[in-house]
Amino acid sequence: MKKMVCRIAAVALLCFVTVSAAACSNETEEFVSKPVTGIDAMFDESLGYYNEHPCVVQVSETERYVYYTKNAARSENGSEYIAVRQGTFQDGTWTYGEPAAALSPAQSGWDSGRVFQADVIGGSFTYEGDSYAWLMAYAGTGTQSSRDGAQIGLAVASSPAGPWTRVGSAPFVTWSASDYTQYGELLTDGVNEPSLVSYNRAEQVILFYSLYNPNTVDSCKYVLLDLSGDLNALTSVKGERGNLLSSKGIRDMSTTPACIAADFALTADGETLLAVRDYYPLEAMTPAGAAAVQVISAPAAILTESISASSPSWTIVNDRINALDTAVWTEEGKTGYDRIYSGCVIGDPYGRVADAQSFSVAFTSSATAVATQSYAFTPMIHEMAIGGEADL
Amino acid sequence: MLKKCAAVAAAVCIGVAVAGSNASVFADGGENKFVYQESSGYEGICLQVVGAPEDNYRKIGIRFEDARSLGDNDYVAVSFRNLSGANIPFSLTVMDSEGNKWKTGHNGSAEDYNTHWYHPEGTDDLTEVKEYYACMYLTSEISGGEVFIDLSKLTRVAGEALKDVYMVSIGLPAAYNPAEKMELLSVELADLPAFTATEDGFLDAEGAPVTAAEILNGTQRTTLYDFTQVESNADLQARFDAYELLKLNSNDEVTRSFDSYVSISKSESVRGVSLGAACSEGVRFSLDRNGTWVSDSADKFGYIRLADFSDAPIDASDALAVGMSALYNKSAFRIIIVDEDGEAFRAGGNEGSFVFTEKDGTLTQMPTYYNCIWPEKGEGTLLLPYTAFSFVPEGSLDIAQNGKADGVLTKISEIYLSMDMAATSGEAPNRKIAVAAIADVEYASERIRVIADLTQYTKTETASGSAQVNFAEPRNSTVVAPCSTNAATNANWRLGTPTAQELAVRSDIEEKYLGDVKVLDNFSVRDEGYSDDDLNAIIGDYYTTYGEASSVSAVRLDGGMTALRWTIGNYQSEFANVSGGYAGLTVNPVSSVDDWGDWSGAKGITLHIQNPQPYEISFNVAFQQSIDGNTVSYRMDYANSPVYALDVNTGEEFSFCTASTIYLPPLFDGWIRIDFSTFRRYSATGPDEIDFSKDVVAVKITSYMYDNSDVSFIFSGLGLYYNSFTVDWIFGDTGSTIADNMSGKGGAV
Repeated sequence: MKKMVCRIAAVALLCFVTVSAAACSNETEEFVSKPVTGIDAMFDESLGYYNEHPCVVQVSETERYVYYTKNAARSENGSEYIAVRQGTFQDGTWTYGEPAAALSPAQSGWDSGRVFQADVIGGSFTYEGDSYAWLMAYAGTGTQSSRDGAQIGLAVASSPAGPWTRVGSAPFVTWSASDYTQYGELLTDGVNEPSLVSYNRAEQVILFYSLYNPNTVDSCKYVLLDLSGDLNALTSVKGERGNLLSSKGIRDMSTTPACIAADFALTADGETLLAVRDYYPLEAMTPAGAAAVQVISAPAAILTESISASSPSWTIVNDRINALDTAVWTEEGKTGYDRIYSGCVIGDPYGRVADAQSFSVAFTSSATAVATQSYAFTPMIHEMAIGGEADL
Repeated sequence: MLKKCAAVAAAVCIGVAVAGSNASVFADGGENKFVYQESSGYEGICLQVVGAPEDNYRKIGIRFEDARSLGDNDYVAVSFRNLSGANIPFSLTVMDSEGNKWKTGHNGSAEDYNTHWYHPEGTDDLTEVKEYYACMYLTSEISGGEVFIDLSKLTRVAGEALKDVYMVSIGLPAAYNPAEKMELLSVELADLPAFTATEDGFLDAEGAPVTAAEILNGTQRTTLYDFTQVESNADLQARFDAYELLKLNSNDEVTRSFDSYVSISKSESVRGVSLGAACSEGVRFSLDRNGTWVSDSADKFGYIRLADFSDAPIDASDALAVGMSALYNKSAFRIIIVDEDGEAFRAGGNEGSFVFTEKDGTLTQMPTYYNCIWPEKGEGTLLLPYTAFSFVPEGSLDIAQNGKADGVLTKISEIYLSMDMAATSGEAPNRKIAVAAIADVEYASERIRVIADLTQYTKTETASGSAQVNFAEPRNSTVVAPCSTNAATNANWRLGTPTAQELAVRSDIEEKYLGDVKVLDNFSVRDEGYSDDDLNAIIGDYYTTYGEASSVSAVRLDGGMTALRWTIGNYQSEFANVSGGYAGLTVNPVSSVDDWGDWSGAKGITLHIQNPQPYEISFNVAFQQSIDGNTVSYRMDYANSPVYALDVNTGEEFSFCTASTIYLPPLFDGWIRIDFSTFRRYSATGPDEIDFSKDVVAVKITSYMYDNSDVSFIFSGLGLYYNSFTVDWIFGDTGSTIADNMSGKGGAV
């Protein structure tokens, strides 16, 4: 398949990609450059801090917010949180401010261990009588040991920079390992990778998520949210009880391809649904994960019609964004990244893009254990244009 | 000659029981009666070949008191529908008031033909059709529409050119097309705009391109006869009586033999016979669960003689009526007649059905396959036309050598009930049939002559566990049990009186349609105050299990209804490594459901199912067809397929994907929909593509014992859905959801 990738030529760096005494995230820590084996990251953080699961919300031509998952303590992965950076566009490049904590683990409860994989949209929301303009969906767990058995919660804010207020103390999309067998708990990733799209740029929201059912296959689901009332009245929904998103037309190297670990956007006219998804199967070598992301599109009717022989199908826009696409052949040692995963469509505050043929995505890269002992703390976030110059 | 069975019961009697009332309840002229029921009506009239006349054609003629002008018309348009899916050739003959006669007379072949035009119903298409073998040779793929028959291409039979139209006839070549069945809607004269057909399409008179739609829109029609105006069978007969319509032979002569070869009707009527309300009072014939089973005999059936007329054989009129009760669902049986020549004849074949008059007078169809009759539990009268009895091949019955004399069923000498005694027939020990009376039936005179009354008998239990029955009527006194030439199987027959539990029946399906859903089963028996154990036994008579251990029981619902609980056995203590570790549940056709086995047009299966467990349970669904005597099965067999669900308690609609089986969410209670596209053949033989022109004969539900040890499924509905549906889209109206469709919003079945 002919690739339609145009790389962003210039990615501004807030921090220099060199060993420096000035660390990005902590003034007292030494900055150590991550192994850059391909295109540059959107912003640099020191080796020891992973940056994963981007959500990029462009609020104007010159302002955007990047939400991502980050570990709080250097070279430790037990205390991750959702970070946010404000980006400004000047002189043809984006520059990003210092990271701030958008959402940290709760003091107690279902998301007191980890919070990660945030997605944010704008709209019109009310929680406990107060109005909010921003809604976040995020994954969380009650333990720091892993992301297994995740559930999905909601938070609101008046500004994309925060502060964020959790909606209730319970997850909105729930998952329980005991739901699957009488023989004991079957722990999987649970429900995670939430992705929000505003349907009417106000209170109508589509929430996509990945469901890891230990009995069947991993699947992408979505629920429709009419948030015109106070979010206090929201009742949770079991992860199993969402709508199954059609995987018709999706092709990769797996036998049951689906929109796993995907982010979604609608075109401005609402006619086309776009997605960036992990390409399966996942690589077995550490870190086990995707080696590419795939960009796909489908008529929005794929959300409304039940799956049948005549229902809409996905079209592959970019089969694989992989190491080859992230290589910089003009520079020594930049043969691309071995792990590319957890992408997002860079959209407007409502999860929209102007043109289904031309938009940008962001994704995560990581080194492998073979190449870098501290691979777990190498993930970076990159941006790439799809089908030409992005036009938000 | 059939070897007669003497009473061979053991001599030691250990008890005597008397059953039946003192007077015969089946006396001629009692409650015995014919029952008729309209089965289907047609927009036009139905012509169906029922016999093969030596002169081939039978024609329906339309005669006009005043000849109709031909005008500018150059075609005769015949509107029709193909009702059988077979070839439906027909001839057209036109005669004018001067006796000039022309017809479709081009003999030719599929390569040598005249061309006419066909307009498929509901389309704007116009395609070529062929005339050969002196017919409009309409093949099986032609479903219906109108045929424009070019008058200029007819063959002259007599006289000169047609001056007008005095008579038109439509003829069916019945001798060569036994499966032909068509609906005739109208006959018209038609004036089509001049056109020619080219490889690139149609051209008008000026040579300009013209579409088929434009040709059809420009066609002028003059009605000659509108069969949709026929109101009823009586109205149709009145038109024949008035010679407005004519029943003709090949030579266009009115014939009395018409009805023997082609039936004509506005609506079809089903004929049954009722032997009254005492059909439950007969002898219960069952097979012993612990008996000796045969497995190495060519004939795996046991026989019990119901009547012996060998001293004075009975004339076989038109049909045999059997007053009976099936005391266990799908108690497969055969009725064997031995005629005075000693030849044996069996009712039922590999496919087909017999009319059964239920206790309340409702007529249903009792299916036949595997050369057996498969009744649904219940009582009534089975009508077996003698024409449906087939000669049993020599050597295939243990009870007789059955050498062939003339192969024609003459007078009735003996009547046998026969049931499967094969050791491998897992359900055989459960089968129970009670027979109360047998009558010979004559259609023309509507005479019902009771020839055997099995309600009057004494039963003698013997030490061996077998029994001897002595009937009150002298002519039936030779009916004894056991009665088989196979001594080993004699002891397997058990005779008795049906119990209330055995006579209990399922609940009526009150709502036969739920919007776009045709309900096939409600899994309910009528709760008439039974104990839990009795209720469980009753529902167990209808739903059989197989494979690994599992059981069925009844769940009481509001309103006196029940649901079916299917509980899988315990993996630790009951696993027997049967059939790959799967337990199975069979759902059989329900006779009160119209055309239960006709699944054509449906998009998928829908089940009302409940998972009482707080965790997922898994099962699979399959259905079976009997094709050419083989069982062909299709099963949901595609992993990652969607299942759509409507939770009846929460109103939620959602969907989930399958593995190789369906995992039902914890505590789910509602309807699920499974599209037929997710089914795949898993029997060794049969077509890969599902062919619903063949009836479905059973639904099978399976569950893997290890994954589902001790779990229960509760079923309260099985159906077919016919509409597409949308996701429950709360942001606007995008179509009909499952709930919308089931409430009729999306259009009912």
